[in-house]
Amino acid sequence: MTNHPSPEDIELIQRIKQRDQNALVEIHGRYRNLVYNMAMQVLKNASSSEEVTQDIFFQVWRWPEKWDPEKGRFTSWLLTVTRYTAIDRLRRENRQPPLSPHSLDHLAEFLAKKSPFEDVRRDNGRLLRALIKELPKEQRDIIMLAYFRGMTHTEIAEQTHLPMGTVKSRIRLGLQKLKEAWFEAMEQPSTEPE
Amino acid sequence: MSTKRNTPFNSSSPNGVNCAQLRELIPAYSIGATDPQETALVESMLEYCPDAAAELTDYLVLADEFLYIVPPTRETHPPLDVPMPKLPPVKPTHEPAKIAQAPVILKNRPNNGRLWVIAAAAAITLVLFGGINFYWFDQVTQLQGDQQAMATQLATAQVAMLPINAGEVHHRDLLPNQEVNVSTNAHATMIWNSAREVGSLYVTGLPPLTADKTYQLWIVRDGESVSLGVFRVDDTGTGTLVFESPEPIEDFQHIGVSEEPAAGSPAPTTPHLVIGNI
Repeated sequence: MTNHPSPEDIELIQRIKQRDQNALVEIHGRYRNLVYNMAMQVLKNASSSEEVTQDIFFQVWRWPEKWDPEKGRFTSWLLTVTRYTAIDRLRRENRQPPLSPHSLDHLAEFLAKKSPFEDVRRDNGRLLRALIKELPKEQRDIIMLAYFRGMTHTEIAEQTHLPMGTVKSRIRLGLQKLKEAWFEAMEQPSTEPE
Repeated sequence: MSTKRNTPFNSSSPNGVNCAQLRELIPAYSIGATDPQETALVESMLEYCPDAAAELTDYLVLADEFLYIVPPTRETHPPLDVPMPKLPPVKPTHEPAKIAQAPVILKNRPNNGRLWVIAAAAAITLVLFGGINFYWFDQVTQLQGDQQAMATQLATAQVAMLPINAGEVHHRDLLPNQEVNVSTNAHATMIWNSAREVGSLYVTGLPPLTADKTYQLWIVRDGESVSLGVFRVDDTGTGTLVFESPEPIEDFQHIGVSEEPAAGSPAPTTPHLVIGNI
Protein backbone atom coordinates (compact mmCIF):
# COMPACT_ATOMS: atom_id res chain seq x y z
CA MET A 1 0.00 0.00 0.00
CA THR A 2 1.71 3.20 -1.07
CA ASN A 3 0.52 6.70 -0.38
CA HIS A 4 3.49 8.45 -1.88
CA PRO A 5 2.68 10.72 -4.78
CA SER A 6 4.51 9.88 -7.98
CA PRO A 7 7.38 12.20 -8.94
CA GLU A 8 5.85 12.53 -12.42
CA ASP A 9 2.59 13.86 -10.98
CA ILE A 10 4.43 16.29 -8.75
CA GLU A 11 6.42 17.56 -11.71
CA LEU A 12 3.35 17.89 -13.94
CA ILE A 13 1.44 19.85 -11.32
CA GLN A 14 4.46 22.04 -10.74
CA ARG A 15 4.56 22.79 -14.46
CA ILE A 16 0.83 23.53 -14.47
CA LYS A 17 1.40 26.00 -11.64
CA GLN A 18 3.89 27.68 -13.95
CA ARG A 19 1.11 27.79 -16.58
CA ASP A 20 2.75 25.21 -18.86
CA GLN A 21 -0.11 24.06 -21.05
CA ASN A 22 1.82 21.08 -22.34
CA ALA A 23 1.74 19.74 -18.79
CA LEU A 24 -2.03 20.10 -18.80
CA VAL A 25 -2.18 18.25 -22.11
CA GLU A 26 -0.02 15.51 -20.61
CA ILE A 27 -1.96 15.14 -17.38
CA HIS A 28 -5.23 15.23 -19.31
CA GLY A 29 -4.02 12.48 -21.63
CA ARG A 30 -2.82 10.45 -18.69
CA TYR A 31 -5.89 10.60 -16.46
CA ARG A 32 -8.90 11.65 -18.52
CA ASN A 33 -10.24 8.12 -18.86
CA LEU A 34 -9.76 7.49 -15.17
CA VAL A 35 -11.78 10.59 -14.35
CA TYR A 36 -14.39 9.73 -16.93
CA ASN A 37 -14.77 6.21 -15.52
CA MET A 38 -15.40 7.54 -12.02
CA ALA A 39 -17.89 10.14 -13.31
CA MET A 40 -19.65 7.47 -15.35
CA GLN A 41 -19.87 5.20 -12.33
CA VAL A 42 -21.78 7.90 -10.48
CA LEU A 43 -23.76 9.55 -13.28
CA LYS A 44 -24.52 6.67 -15.65
CA ASN A 45 -24.69 9.18 -18.45
CA ALA A 46 -21.99 9.59 -21.09
CA SER A 47 -22.48 13.26 -21.95
CA SER A 48 -22.74 14.34 -18.30
CA SER A 49 -19.61 12.32 -17.55
CA GLU A 50 -17.75 14.02 -20.41
CA GLU A 51 -18.76 17.40 -19.04
CA VAL A 52 -17.66 16.51 -15.54
CA THR A 53 -14.35 15.27 -16.97
CA GLN A 54 -13.79 18.59 -18.73
CA ASP A 55 -14.73 20.46 -15.61
CA ILE A 56 -12.30 18.50 -13.47
CA PHE A 57 -9.34 19.24 -15.72
CA PHE A 58 -10.35 22.83 -15.92
CA GLN A 59 -10.26 22.89 -12.13
CA VAL A 60 -6.80 21.30 -12.19
CA TRP A 61 -5.66 24.07 -14.52
CA ARG A 62 -7.14 26.89 -12.49
CA TRP A 63 -6.38 25.64 -8.99
CA PRO A 64 -3.46 23.18 -9.18
CA GLU A 65 -2.39 24.22 -5.69
CA LYS A 66 -5.47 22.48 -4.29
CA TRP A 67 -3.65 19.18 -4.49
CA ASP A 68 -1.25 18.86 -1.58
CA PRO A 69 1.30 16.09 -2.24
CA GLU A 70 1.84 15.84 1.52
CA LYS A 71 -1.71 14.53 1.89
CA GLY A 72 -1.59 11.73 -0.64
CA ARG A 73 -1.49 10.68 -4.24
CA PHE A 74 -2.63 12.91 -7.06
CA THR A 75 -4.95 10.22 -8.41
CA SER A 76 -6.69 9.87 -5.04
CA TRP A 77 -7.28 13.60 -4.91
CA LEU A 78 -8.37 13.69 -8.54
CA LEU A 79 -10.81 10.81 -8.11
CA THR A 80 -12.18 12.22 -4.88
CA VAL A 81 -12.84 15.59 -6.51
CA THR A 82 -14.40 13.80 -9.47
CA ARG A 83 -16.64 11.71 -7.26
CA TYR A 84 -17.89 14.72 -5.32
CA THR A 85 -18.33 16.80 -8.48
CA ALA A 86 -20.32 14.04 -10.12
CA ILE A 87 -22.47 13.54 -7.02
CA ASP A 88 -23.07 17.30 -6.83
CA ARG A 89 -24.15 17.26 -10.42
CA LEU A 90 -26.49 14.36 -9.77
CA ARG A 91 -28.06 16.38 -6.96
CA ARG A 92 -28.29 19.56 -9.03
CA GLU A 93 -30.01 17.66 -11.78
CA ASN A 94 -32.28 16.31 -9.10
CA ARG A 95 -32.10 12.83 -10.47
CA GLN A 96 -30.90 9.47 -9.34
CA PRO A 97 -30.29 6.67 -11.79
CA PRO A 98 -33.15 4.17 -11.35
CA LEU A 99 -32.91 1.97 -8.32
CA SER A 100 -34.33 -1.27 -9.54
CA PRO A 101 -33.08 -4.61 -8.30
CA HIS A 102 -31.39 -4.86 -11.68
CA SER A 103 -29.48 -1.63 -11.14
CA LEU A 104 -28.38 -2.79 -7.70
CA ASP A 105 -27.06 -5.93 -9.33
CA HIS A 106 -25.34 -3.77 -11.90
CA LEU A 107 -23.64 -1.79 -9.16
CA ALA A 108 -22.18 -4.95 -7.77
CA GLU A 109 -21.43 -6.39 -11.21
CA PHE A 110 -18.30 -4.35 -11.67
CA LEU A 111 -16.70 -6.07 -8.74
CA ALA A 112 -15.83 -8.89 -11.08
CA LYS A 113 -14.30 -6.64 -13.72
CA LYS A 114 -10.66 -5.89 -14.23
CA SER A 115 -9.26 -2.77 -12.64
CA PRO A 116 -7.91 -0.14 -15.05
CA PHE A 117 -4.78 0.28 -12.94
CA GLU A 118 -1.55 -1.41 -13.85
CA ASP A 119 0.49 -0.65 -10.77
CA VAL A 120 0.22 -1.50 -7.09
CA ARG A 121 -3.28 -0.03 -7.12
CA ARG A 122 -4.35 -2.89 -9.36
CA ASP A 123 -3.53 -5.47 -6.70
CA ASN A 124 -5.16 -3.43 -3.95
CA GLY A 125 -8.20 -2.80 -6.13
CA ARG A 126 -8.46 -6.49 -6.95
CA LEU A 127 -8.18 -7.40 -3.29
CA LEU A 128 -10.79 -4.91 -2.19
CA ARG A 129 -13.17 -6.00 -4.93
CA ALA A 130 -12.79 -9.59 -3.80
CA LEU A 131 -13.47 -8.59 -0.19
CA ILE A 132 -16.52 -6.56 -1.15
CA LYS A 133 -17.86 -9.53 -3.09
CA GLU A 134 -17.68 -11.60 0.06
CA LEU A 135 -20.00 -9.26 1.93
CA PRO A 136 -23.66 -10.23 2.20
CA LYS A 137 -25.48 -8.77 -0.79
CA GLU A 138 -27.74 -6.56 1.29
CA GLN A 139 -24.75 -4.90 2.95
CA ARG A 140 -22.79 -4.62 -0.27
CA ASP A 141 -25.60 -2.99 -2.23
CA ILE A 142 -26.19 -0.31 0.37
CA ILE A 143 -22.50 0.50 0.72
CA MET A 144 -22.28 0.88 -3.06
CA LEU A 145 -25.29 3.19 -3.05
CA ALA A 146 -23.77 5.33 -0.35
CA TYR A 147 -20.38 5.53 -1.96
CA PHE A 148 -21.12 5.88 -5.67
CA ARG A 149 -24.43 7.69 -5.49
CA GLY A 150 -23.47 9.90 -2.58
CA MET A 151 -26.62 8.92 -0.70
CA THR A 152 -26.98 9.42 3.03
CA HIS A 153 -28.72 7.16 5.55
CA THR A 154 -32.02 8.99 5.10
CA GLU A 155 -31.85 9.03 1.31
CA ILE A 156 -31.06 5.33 1.13
CA ALA A 157 -33.91 4.52 3.51
CA GLU A 158 -36.30 6.52 1.34
CA GLN A 159 -35.10 5.01 -1.90
CA THR A 160 -34.99 1.42 -0.73
CA HIS A 161 -38.03 1.62 1.62
CA LEU A 162 -35.94 0.02 4.35
CA PRO A 163 -36.14 1.12 7.99
CA MET A 164 -33.49 3.68 8.91
CA GLY A 165 -32.02 1.38 11.56
CA THR A 166 -31.56 -1.37 8.99
CA VAL A 167 -29.77 0.96 6.60
CA LYS A 168 -27.45 2.20 9.33
CA SER A 169 -26.62 -1.25 10.62
CA ARG A 170 -25.98 -2.64 7.15
CA ILE A 171 -23.53 0.12 6.33
CA ARG A 172 -21.83 -0.11 9.71
CA LEU A 173 -21.53 -3.89 9.79
CA GLY A 174 -20.48 -4.14 6.15
CA LEU A 175 -17.74 -1.55 6.50
CA GLN A 176 -16.56 -3.01 9.79
CA LYS A 177 -16.13 -6.42 8.18
CA LEU A 178 -14.47 -4.89 5.17
CA LYS A 179 -12.03 -2.88 7.26
CA GLU A 180 -11.02 -5.85 9.40
CA ALA A 181 -10.58 -8.08 6.34
CA TRP A 182 -8.67 -5.37 4.49
CA PHE A 183 -6.13 -4.70 7.20
CA GLU A 184 -5.75 -8.38 7.93
CA ALA A 185 -4.93 -9.00 4.28
CA MET A 186 -2.54 -6.03 4.24
CA GLU A 187 -0.65 -7.40 7.22
CA GLN A 188 -0.06 -10.74 5.54
CA PRO A 189 3.19 -11.05 3.56
CA SER A 190 2.70 -11.01 -0.19
CA THR A 191 2.81 -14.43 -1.80
CA GLU A 192 3.63 -13.00 -5.21
CA PRO A 193 7.21 -13.12 -6.48
CA GLU A 194 9.21 -9.94 -6.14
CA MET B 1 -1.87 -0.58 9.39
CA SER B 2 -4.99 -1.10 11.44
CA THR B 3 -5.08 0.75 14.73
CA LYS B 4 -5.37 -1.60 17.69
CA ARG B 5 -7.61 -0.45 20.50
CA ASN B 6 -8.25 -1.79 23.98
CA THR B 7 -10.95 0.64 25.05
CA PRO B 8 -14.40 -0.92 25.50
CA PHE B 9 -16.81 -0.10 22.70
CA ASN B 10 -19.34 1.65 24.95
CA SER B 11 -16.78 3.95 26.49
CA SER B 12 -17.39 7.58 27.17
CA SER B 13 -14.77 10.29 27.21
CA PRO B 14 -13.92 11.91 30.56
CA ASN B 15 -16.03 14.94 29.70
CA GLY B 16 -19.16 12.86 29.22
CA VAL B 17 -19.33 12.78 25.43
CA ASN B 18 -20.80 9.49 24.25
CA CYS B 19 -17.96 8.03 22.25
CA ALA B 20 -19.86 4.80 21.62
CA GLN B 21 -22.50 6.75 19.72
CA LEU B 22 -19.77 8.41 17.73
CA ARG B 23 -18.06 5.15 16.86
CA GLU B 24 -21.28 3.77 15.47
CA LEU B 25 -21.33 6.62 12.98
CA ILE B 26 -17.65 6.49 12.00
CA PRO B 27 -17.95 3.87 9.20
CA ALA B 28 -20.78 5.71 7.45
CA TYR B 29 -19.07 9.06 8.01
CA SER B 30 -15.91 7.82 6.28
CA ILE B 31 -17.76 7.27 3.01
CA GLY B 32 -19.99 10.33 3.30
CA ALA B 33 -23.18 8.43 4.14
CA THR B 34 -24.08 10.31 7.31
CA ASP B 35 -26.93 12.80 7.26
CA PRO B 36 -25.97 16.46 7.81
CA GLN B 37 -26.83 16.46 11.51
CA GLU B 38 -24.91 13.21 12.02
CA THR B 39 -21.94 14.66 10.16
CA ALA B 40 -22.01 17.72 12.42
CA LEU B 41 -22.22 15.48 15.47
CA VAL B 42 -19.21 13.41 14.39
CA GLU B 43 -17.14 16.47 13.63
CA SER B 44 -17.95 18.13 16.93
CA MET B 45 -17.20 15.03 19.03
CA LEU B 46 -14.09 13.66 17.36
CA GLU B 47 -11.64 15.67 19.39
CA TYR B 48 -13.07 14.20 22.62
CA CYS B 49 -12.86 10.57 21.46
CA PRO B 50 -9.29 9.75 20.38
CA ASP B 51 -10.12 6.08 19.82
CA ALA B 52 -12.88 7.02 17.42
CA ALA B 53 -10.56 9.44 15.66
CA ALA B 54 -7.98 6.68 15.24
CA GLU B 55 -10.64 4.35 13.95
CA LEU B 56 -11.73 6.98 11.47
CA THR B 57 -8.17 7.11 10.13
CA ASP B 58 -8.41 3.42 9.28
CA TYR B 59 -11.79 3.83 7.64
CA LEU B 60 -10.50 6.73 5.59
CA VAL B 61 -7.67 4.55 4.30
CA LEU B 62 -10.29 2.04 3.23
CA ALA B 63 -12.44 4.76 1.66
CA ASP B 64 -9.40 5.91 -0.33
CA GLU B 65 -9.00 2.40 -1.72
CA PHE B 66 -12.63 2.47 -2.88
CA LEU B 67 -11.56 5.06 -5.44
CA TYR B 68 -9.57 2.43 -7.26
CA ILE B 69 -12.21 -0.21 -7.79
CA VAL B 70 -14.11 1.62 -10.49
CA PRO B 71 -14.36 -0.51 -13.61
CA PRO B 72 -12.88 0.69 -16.89
CA THR B 73 -16.02 2.00 -18.59
CA ARG B 74 -13.62 3.58 -21.02
CA GLU B 75 -10.22 1.96 -21.42
CA THR B 76 -7.47 3.74 -19.56
CA HIS B 77 -4.46 3.03 -21.64
CA PRO B 78 -5.25 3.51 -25.33
CA PRO B 79 -4.67 7.23 -25.73
CA LEU B 80 -6.96 7.75 -28.71
CA ASP B 81 -10.73 7.99 -28.59
CA VAL B 82 -10.94 8.00 -32.38
CA PRO B 83 -9.98 5.11 -34.58
CA MET B 84 -6.57 5.34 -36.11
CA PRO B 85 -6.68 5.80 -39.89
CA LYS B 86 -5.65 2.74 -41.81
CA LEU B 87 -2.23 3.36 -43.18
CA PRO B 88 -1.27 1.84 -46.53
CA PRO B 89 1.07 -1.10 -46.31
CA VAL B 90 4.67 -0.11 -46.74
CA LYS B 91 6.55 -1.92 -49.46
CA PRO B 92 10.08 -2.86 -48.57
CA THR B 93 12.73 -1.45 -50.88
CA HIS B 94 14.83 -4.58 -50.48
CA GLU B 95 13.75 -7.71 -52.23
CA PRO B 96 13.53 -10.59 -49.81
CA ALA B 97 16.53 -12.84 -50.18
CA LYS B 98 15.90 -15.92 -52.25
CA ILE B 99 17.27 -18.81 -50.33
CA ALA B 100 18.66 -21.56 -52.46
CA GLN B 101 17.85 -25.14 -51.67
CA ALA B 102 20.37 -26.30 -49.16
CA PRO B 103 22.83 -28.67 -50.75
CA VAL B 104 22.91 -32.20 -49.47
CA ILE B 105 26.06 -32.90 -47.58
CA LEU B 106 27.12 -36.46 -47.76
CA LYS B 107 28.22 -38.08 -44.57
CA ASN B 108 31.93 -38.63 -44.05
CA ARG B 109 32.78 -36.74 -47.15
CA PRO B 110 33.91 -33.30 -46.07
CA ASN B 111 34.07 -30.82 -48.90
CA ASN B 112 35.76 -27.59 -47.85
CA GLY B 113 34.86 -25.70 -51.03
CA ARG B 114 31.17 -26.48 -50.71
CA LEU B 115 31.21 -25.59 -46.99
CA TRP B 116 32.72 -22.24 -47.85
CA VAL B 117 29.94 -21.55 -50.36
CA ILE B 118 27.29 -22.48 -47.79
CA ALA B 119 28.90 -20.25 -45.17
CA ALA B 120 29.05 -17.35 -47.62
CA ALA B 121 25.39 -17.84 -48.60
CA ALA B 122 24.41 -17.94 -44.94
CA ALA B 123 26.35 -14.75 -44.25
CA ILE B 124 24.72 -12.94 -47.19
CA THR B 125 21.31 -14.15 -46.07
CA LEU B 126 21.96 -12.91 -42.54
CA VAL B 127 23.01 -9.51 -43.83
CA LEU B 128 19.89 -9.27 -46.02
CA PHE B 129 17.59 -10.32 -43.20
CA GLY B 130 19.32 -7.87 -40.92
CA GLY B 131 18.74 -5.10 -43.44
CA ILE B 132 15.08 -6.00 -43.85
CA ASN B 133 14.59 -6.19 -40.09
CA PHE B 134 16.23 -2.83 -39.66
CA TYR B 135 13.99 -1.40 -42.37
CA TRP B 136 10.81 -2.69 -40.70
CA PHE B 137 12.01 -1.60 -37.28
CA ASP B 138 12.49 1.87 -38.72
CA GLN B 139 8.99 1.82 -40.26
CA VAL B 140 7.37 0.67 -37.03
CA THR B 141 9.23 3.31 -35.05
CA GLN B 142 8.09 5.96 -37.50
CA LEU B 143 4.46 4.81 -37.29
CA GLN B 144 4.63 4.81 -33.50
CA GLY B 145 5.97 8.36 -33.67
CA ASP B 146 3.10 9.37 -35.97
CA GLN B 147 0.60 7.78 -33.62
CA GLN B 148 2.11 9.59 -30.64
CA ALA B 149 1.96 12.89 -32.53
CA MET B 150 -1.71 12.31 -33.39
CA ALA B 151 -2.48 11.42 -29.79
CA THR B 152 -0.78 14.61 -28.63
CA GLN B 153 -2.72 16.68 -31.15
CA LEU B 154 -5.97 15.07 -30.06
CA ALA B 155 -5.19 15.69 -26.40
CA THR B 156 -4.30 19.28 -27.24
CA ALA B 157 -7.62 19.75 -29.00
CA GLN B 158 -9.46 18.22 -26.05
CA VAL B 159 -7.75 20.54 -23.62
CA ALA B 160 -8.78 23.46 -25.80
CA MET B 161 -12.39 22.41 -25.28
CA LEU B 162 -12.19 22.53 -21.49
CA PRO B 163 -13.78 25.97 -20.98
CA ILE B 164 -16.94 25.25 -22.90
CA ASN B 165 -18.55 23.14 -20.26
CA ALA B 166 -21.34 25.45 -19.17
CA GLY B 167 -22.72 28.91 -19.76
CA GLU B 168 -22.95 30.93 -22.91
CA VAL B 169 -20.28 29.80 -25.33
CA HIS B 170 -18.97 31.83 -28.26
CA HIS B 171 -16.45 31.03 -30.90
CA ARG B 172 -14.64 32.99 -33.58
CA ASP B 173 -12.26 31.95 -36.33
CA LEU B 174 -8.99 33.79 -36.81
CA LEU B 175 -7.70 33.81 -40.38
CA PRO B 176 -4.30 34.75 -41.87
CA ASN B 177 -3.63 38.47 -41.97
CA GLN B 178 -3.34 39.34 -45.66
CA GLU B 179 -0.94 42.16 -44.86
CA VAL B 180 1.82 39.95 -43.48
CA ASN B 181 3.72 37.01 -44.82
CA VAL B 182 2.11 34.06 -43.07
CA SER B 183 1.08 30.64 -44.36
CA THR B 184 -2.41 30.49 -45.78
CA ASN B 185 -2.83 27.33 -43.70
CA ALA B 186 -2.55 29.33 -40.48
CA HIS B 187 -5.83 29.21 -38.60
CA ALA B 188 -7.06 29.64 -35.08
CA THR B 189 -10.34 29.15 -33.29
CA MET B 190 -11.09 31.06 -30.14
CA ILE B 191 -13.79 29.71 -27.83
CA TRP B 192 -14.90 31.53 -24.75
CA ASN B 193 -17.51 31.28 -22.11
CA SER B 194 -19.03 34.63 -21.28
CA ALA B 195 -20.49 33.35 -18.01
CA ARG B 196 -17.03 32.53 -16.68
CA GLU B 197 -14.86 34.87 -18.77
CA VAL B 198 -12.65 31.95 -19.62
CA GLY B 199 -11.77 30.54 -22.98
CA SER B 200 -9.28 28.81 -25.15
CA LEU B 201 -7.48 29.27 -28.41
CA TYR B 202 -6.69 26.37 -30.71
CA VAL B 203 -4.12 27.15 -33.36
CA THR B 204 -2.91 25.23 -36.39
CA GLY B 205 -0.48 26.08 -39.17
CA LEU B 206 1.69 28.64 -37.39
CA PRO B 207 5.44 28.13 -37.75
CA PRO B 208 7.30 26.80 -34.69
CA LEU B 209 9.36 29.53 -33.03
CA THR B 210 12.87 29.68 -31.64
CA ALA B 211 13.24 29.57 -27.85
CA ASP B 212 13.49 33.35 -27.55
CA LYS B 213 10.08 33.92 -29.18
CA THR B 214 6.49 33.18 -28.32
CA TYR B 215 3.02 33.78 -29.69
CA GLN B 216 0.71 36.13 -27.83
CA LEU B 217 -3.06 36.42 -28.04
CA TRP B 218 -4.64 39.87 -27.94
CA ILE B 219 -8.11 41.33 -27.78
CA VAL B 220 -8.33 44.83 -29.18
CA ARG B 221 -10.70 47.67 -28.36
CA ASP B 222 -10.37 51.12 -29.94
CA GLY B 223 -6.73 50.50 -30.67
CA GLU B 224 -5.96 49.31 -27.12
CA SER B 225 -4.65 45.73 -26.90
CA VAL B 226 -5.15 43.50 -23.88
CA SER B 227 -3.11 40.31 -23.61
CA LEU B 228 -4.86 37.02 -22.97
CA GLY B 229 -1.63 35.06 -22.67
CA VAL B 230 1.29 33.52 -24.49
CA PHE B 231 1.64 30.13 -26.08
CA ARG B 232 3.89 28.09 -28.32
CA VAL B 233 3.16 25.63 -31.09
CA ASP B 234 4.61 22.17 -31.59
CA ASP B 235 6.49 20.91 -34.62
CA THR B 236 3.23 20.53 -36.53
CA GLY B 237 2.25 24.15 -35.87
CA THR B 238 -0.45 23.19 -33.38
CA GLY B 239 -0.90 24.89 -30.03
CA THR B 240 -3.47 25.85 -27.43
CA LEU B 241 -3.95 28.56 -24.90
CA VAL B 242 -6.46 28.39 -22.05
CA PHE B 243 -7.05 31.90 -20.74
CA GLU B 244 -9.03 33.99 -18.31
CA SER B 245 -10.07 37.37 -19.60
CA PRO B 246 -9.70 40.35 -17.27
CA GLU B 247 -12.69 42.02 -18.95
CA PRO B 248 -15.77 40.83 -20.84
CA ILE B 249 -14.55 39.76 -24.26
CA GLU B 250 -17.73 41.03 -25.90
CA ASP B 251 -16.58 44.59 -25.05
CA PHE B 252 -13.73 44.24 -27.56
CA GLN B 253 -13.79 44.41 -31.35
CA HIS B 254 -10.90 42.31 -32.64
CA ILE B 255 -8.73 39.31 -31.82
CA GLY B 256 -5.19 38.77 -33.02
CA VAL B 257 -2.09 36.69 -32.50
CA SER B 258 1.36 38.22 -32.81
CA GLU B 259 4.92 36.99 -32.47
CA GLU B 260 6.60 38.40 -29.37
CA PRO B 261 9.71 37.94 -27.19
CA ALA B 262 9.61 34.79 -25.04
CA ALA B 263 8.23 36.48 -21.94
CA GLY B 264 5.47 38.23 -23.88
CA SER B 265 4.98 41.96 -24.36
CA PRO B 266 2.76 44.57 -22.71
CA ALA B 267 1.56 45.52 -26.20
CA PRO B 268 2.02 43.93 -29.63
CA THR B 269 5.44 44.59 -31.14
CA THR B 270 4.75 42.87 -34.47
CA PRO B 271 1.70 42.77 -36.74
CA HIS B 272 -0.97 40.18 -36.04
CA LEU B 273 -0.43 36.96 -37.97
CA VAL B 274 -4.02 35.72 -37.66
CA ILE B 275 -6.94 38.00 -36.99
CA GLY B 276 -10.65 37.87 -36.35
CA ASN B 277 -13.58 40.06 -35.36
CA ILE B 278 -15.55 39.67 -32.15
